[in-house]
Amino acid sequence: MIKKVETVKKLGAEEFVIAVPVEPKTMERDLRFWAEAAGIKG
Amino acid sequence: MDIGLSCRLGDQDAIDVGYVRALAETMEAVGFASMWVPEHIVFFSQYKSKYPYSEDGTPPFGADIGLFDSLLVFAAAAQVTTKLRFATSVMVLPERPALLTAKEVMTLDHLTKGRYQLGAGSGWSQEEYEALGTSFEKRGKRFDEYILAIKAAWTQDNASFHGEFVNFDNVVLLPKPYTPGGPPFIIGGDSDPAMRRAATIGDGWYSWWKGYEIEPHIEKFRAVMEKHNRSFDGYHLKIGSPHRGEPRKP
Repeated sequence: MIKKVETVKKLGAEEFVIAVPVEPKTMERDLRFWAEAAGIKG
Repeated sequence: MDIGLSCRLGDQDAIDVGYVRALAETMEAVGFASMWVPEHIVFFSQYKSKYPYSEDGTPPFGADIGLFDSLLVFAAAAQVTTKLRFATSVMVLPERPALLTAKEVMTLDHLTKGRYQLGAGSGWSQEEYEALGTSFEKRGKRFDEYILAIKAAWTQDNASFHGEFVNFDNVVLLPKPYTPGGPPFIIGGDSDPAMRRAATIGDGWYSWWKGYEIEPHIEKFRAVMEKHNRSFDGYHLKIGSPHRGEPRKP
């Protein structure tokens, strides 16, 4: 994931939109996982 | 660079407003910049149309998929957030009435206090167009007209527009959008016509990175922008991608 983020950043995009699995029963855990994977500093 | 998240709401367990609100609140809390919700108005058990992002043209979903209307989802999500932006990924604009869409999006622009961006595309499903009573063949030209007609309704006091598909005179649409000029049109699609549209009458471009190398694709788009003397200053360049390759934490 982070490689994709870095690639898109170098291309000059203002935003990278990820489509990843987020399940209702584990929503908060999933969101925190993917945020960390994408390098979001919370 | 912002990170957005594409969400499908209206399917299986994700069908109550409590979940929509909790999802939006949590997305904002962990640092996602935006919520993107796809759009199809109806689905079919079988398609003759080719889905553009799979090798064999088969869409990666069946007819049993549930999907809420994105604009209504964002109206709910906006009530419990203050920074999270919203975008449809993407609205199949030529399937809808132009002025009705102008009204709905203007309203959402106010409800979100300017946090909505209008992702819009021409779609790929001829079946969907036919079910909604709209011609699939001229969807590109219709799309171009709709963008210009909607912008006219958002910006002119007594708006007039004359085209092949949209015609009106002295239309009053109030209030004017919260965002001066209206929410930006983020044109979705990776075809040559989509790139041309994004570079000429769009306010941004949303490329879907799947099944091709992204660097030459973006270079191609840069050339289209240059051809049309369009600057990237203030332009909304977005890239989206599906991702399944990460091991999940227990």
